[in-house]
Amino acid sequence: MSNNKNILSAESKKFFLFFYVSLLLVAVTGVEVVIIYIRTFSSTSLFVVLAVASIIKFLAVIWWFMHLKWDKAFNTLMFISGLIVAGATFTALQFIMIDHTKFKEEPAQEK
Amino acid sequence: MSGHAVQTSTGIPNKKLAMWAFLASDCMFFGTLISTHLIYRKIADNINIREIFDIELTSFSTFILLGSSLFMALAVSAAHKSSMQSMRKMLAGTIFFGLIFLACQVYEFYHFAVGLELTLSTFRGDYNLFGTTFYVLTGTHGVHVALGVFWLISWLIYSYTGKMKPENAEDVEVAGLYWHFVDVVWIIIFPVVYLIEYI
Amino acid sequence: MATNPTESFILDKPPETKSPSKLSAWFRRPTQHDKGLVDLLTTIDHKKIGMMYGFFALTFLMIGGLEALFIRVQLMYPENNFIDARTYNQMFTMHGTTMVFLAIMPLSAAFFNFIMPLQIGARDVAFPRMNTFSLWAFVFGAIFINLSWLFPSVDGAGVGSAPAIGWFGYAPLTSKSYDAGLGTDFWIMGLQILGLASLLASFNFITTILNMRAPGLKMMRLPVFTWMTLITSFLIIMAFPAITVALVQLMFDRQFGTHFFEVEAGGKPILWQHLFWIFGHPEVYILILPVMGIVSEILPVFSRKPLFGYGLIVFSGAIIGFLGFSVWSHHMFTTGMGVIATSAFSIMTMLIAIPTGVKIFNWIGTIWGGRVKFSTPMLFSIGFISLFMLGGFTGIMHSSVPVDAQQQDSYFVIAHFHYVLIGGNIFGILGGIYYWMPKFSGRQMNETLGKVIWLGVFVGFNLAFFPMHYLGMTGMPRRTHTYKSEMGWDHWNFWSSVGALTLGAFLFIFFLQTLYTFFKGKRCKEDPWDSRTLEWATANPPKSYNFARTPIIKVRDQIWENKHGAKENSMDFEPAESHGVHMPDNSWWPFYCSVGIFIAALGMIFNRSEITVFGSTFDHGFEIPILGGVILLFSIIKWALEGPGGYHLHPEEDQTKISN
Repeated sequence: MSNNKNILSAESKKFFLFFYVSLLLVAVTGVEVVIIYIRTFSSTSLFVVLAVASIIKFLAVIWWFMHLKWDKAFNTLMFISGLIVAGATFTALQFIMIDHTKFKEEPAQEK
Repeated sequence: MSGHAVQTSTGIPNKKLAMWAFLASDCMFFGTLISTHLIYRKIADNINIREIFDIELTSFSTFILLGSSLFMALAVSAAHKSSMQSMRKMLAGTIFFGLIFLACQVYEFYHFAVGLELTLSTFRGDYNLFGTTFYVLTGTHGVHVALGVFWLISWLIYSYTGKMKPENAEDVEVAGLYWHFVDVVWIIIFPVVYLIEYI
Repeated sequence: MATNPTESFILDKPPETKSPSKLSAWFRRPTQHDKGLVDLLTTIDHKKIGMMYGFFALTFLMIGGLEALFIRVQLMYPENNFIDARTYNQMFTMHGTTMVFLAIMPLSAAFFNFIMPLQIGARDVAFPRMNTFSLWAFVFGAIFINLSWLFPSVDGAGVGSAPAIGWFGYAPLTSKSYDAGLGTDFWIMGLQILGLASLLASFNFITTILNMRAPGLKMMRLPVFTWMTLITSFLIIMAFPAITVALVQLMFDRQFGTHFFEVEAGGKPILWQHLFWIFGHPEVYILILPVMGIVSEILPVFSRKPLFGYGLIVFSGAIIGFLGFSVWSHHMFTTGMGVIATSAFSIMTMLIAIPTGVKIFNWIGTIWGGRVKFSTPMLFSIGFISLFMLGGFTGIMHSSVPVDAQQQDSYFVIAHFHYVLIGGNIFGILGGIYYWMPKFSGRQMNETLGKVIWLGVFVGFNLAFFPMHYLGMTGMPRRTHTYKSEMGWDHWNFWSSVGALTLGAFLFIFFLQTLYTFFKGKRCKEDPWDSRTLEWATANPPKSYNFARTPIIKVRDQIWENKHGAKENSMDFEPAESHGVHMPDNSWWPFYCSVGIFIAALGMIFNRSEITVFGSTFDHGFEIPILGGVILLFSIIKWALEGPGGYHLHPEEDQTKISN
């Protein structure tokens, strides 16, 4: 029974936590949309803000909504290693494909 | 956590472990689609995407999907508390928001395809790569959302059959993980596909 | 509930299901008491599923081998015309596809299914019905690809409309402008089904290994084969999504007019190569790591020594798997990726030689100083080490970009990967079958015939593939239909074909011996090899419940310790559960799910009106895919609602005699 009560109080605490996380997500998304909307910042700073905002949102969802905070660390490890493999592979692919398109244009400039 | 959970070597329930493995694998799946889009986006320069995209609509559906994620988290929490009534309400909320998101996407696709003549292969009659990658990427995400909605509706219906047991909370949690992941993917797609066009 | 020691089990179920009428099993939920075809189609027992994987995979090994022999006979003489050029292309395409996806991967899956749960002391895999689904999805996918032989091609050339695009289906060969027929579509949809089967099986194995280990079986006490199963499964779940997406994109190109790989609209065929090899290179390790696991089991048993450097072998396997994701572009050195990318991939490729070398030294270290018994499994394992090393050496040569530029698309490459895949893979798998046959069927393969087969396979293989190094260096391109006599390739091509025919003949004898032994062979004792790992604590063949009581593991190589080790290291057992062992029921729904997918995939191929087959035009829309989808959906719902079912079994303690 005491175990049941613990679950109840823990889950009730989570109610407010989830609410705050969701406010954070909405706020960050709001920032994303607004800075795009007013179009006064430089491309670089926009890019940095968008990247940071997305990472914050991503981490917030997996950490609190997807319970990684309360789960065994192994789930986090497994998911993050998947993410790293995917991220590294496709970052590399982006660079390779950029190289490839540039390679086609270069001879025209040189010769 | 609840009910008489089966003892496992890692302490993680089987279904949850398998779901996390699936999500790790799905990172690779969406990674492939997103990087295809980005690579082709650089080539497809015969299109002005700012005049196609409707950033208000997409922002709205982004907020909707974030909201559905809150409902989902609360539904899982309610399921663990074995509080059937609030779980049903929260699941219904998630499903409702999910359906709104899908409706926005259907409207968006219809508007692009019929109103702006952006098809899978052409834009206003000329070959175009943007439609190719955009529809396949966001469409695949939409299919994921639709499957999630179907899954959650199944649980909502099942909760009325009277067969639902406390240990099913774990299954709702697994469905929730999937739903949150779909949300996370949209969190990436929104800036990478939509907002980046305005930089 | 009292246990009756004279009977092997007592049923908890009401008596009417005990003797069900035969026909009704097709319409009600089958149980583990149903026999015959119903049991085979619906079984959830990992051992039966493993055996069926093995049976289908060995059959496809023979079919793929036959396709290879067509290729070799065609190349036996210069300007030969044994088969025409299109047929030749279909043969090498289907040979590659069959061997990789329908023979070697499912053979590994057979071992995973049968051996791995026994090695970790589990009663079954984590999701038994999903396992059934993986099996049937594999079978239907395999049949699906081979159905292409039966449909006439659009232009009448070749045999049926089998794909003629090479096993990696490079764009733009797969574009509709180059292949208007059905072959590529069959290939796409078939690989999708097979990919689904592999993915689900891998989620299942990962969960099983991590979660269902016997008490005390820590990760670093796991048998190496189970470790390699785990690593391979992780490779599959990370590698297959890339090919899934690439195939979806290709399907959209062919069915819905998108331009992913269509050059005229700006699509980039090179992207297909990248996506294919992002999957394709980890796939190479998906093929070889299970066999490394098998060999790591066989060598200690026949050297009568513990595996040398267990930790190093395990971690090298993990590092090989991890590095496997960072080398895909070495298949594309000649496409001009730029200096930085090419150098980076070249260095990463060379790095993989380190963990592989570590493994080889550890295997040699295992044999070193042991009391070696040259039984057939051991011979195959030694064959594996030596031939795999040869394949590895040529692999290191390819990692050097200028060398690779010379060897790209030549017979040298063919020699390289056949040394890895036959010399490595097939040798390891054959060794595994000879080693575990007592476990599979309670019967033992004939040792004398086994050694003769080993010799035949070894000689035939080397005769077939060693000359290809030379042919490749003198410029013979791969995938060439024929050649002129002046090229100077006649001699070695002739001997290579002789070798291939020898290899084929001995593999066929092996196939017959396996079938014969499985059904009719001589019965053997419980632990014929004096083995070391937990699967040998079960009966031969294992009972449906595997372990009457769950073992408690104290050391690595537990069975060896039971027999020869200190008394306090002997294995204990958990007390028997008061309610007995839960045996879940069989199920039809996984089978019906794969039927639904099969129908949907078939419908996706015939939804275009311009294809004329057997004189009639298939102008169907999406009715057939929708029909398949409905069957799939209905089966999934029924599957979800039926629950595990089952009954409780009170097993007799028949395993104590071997384990104490």
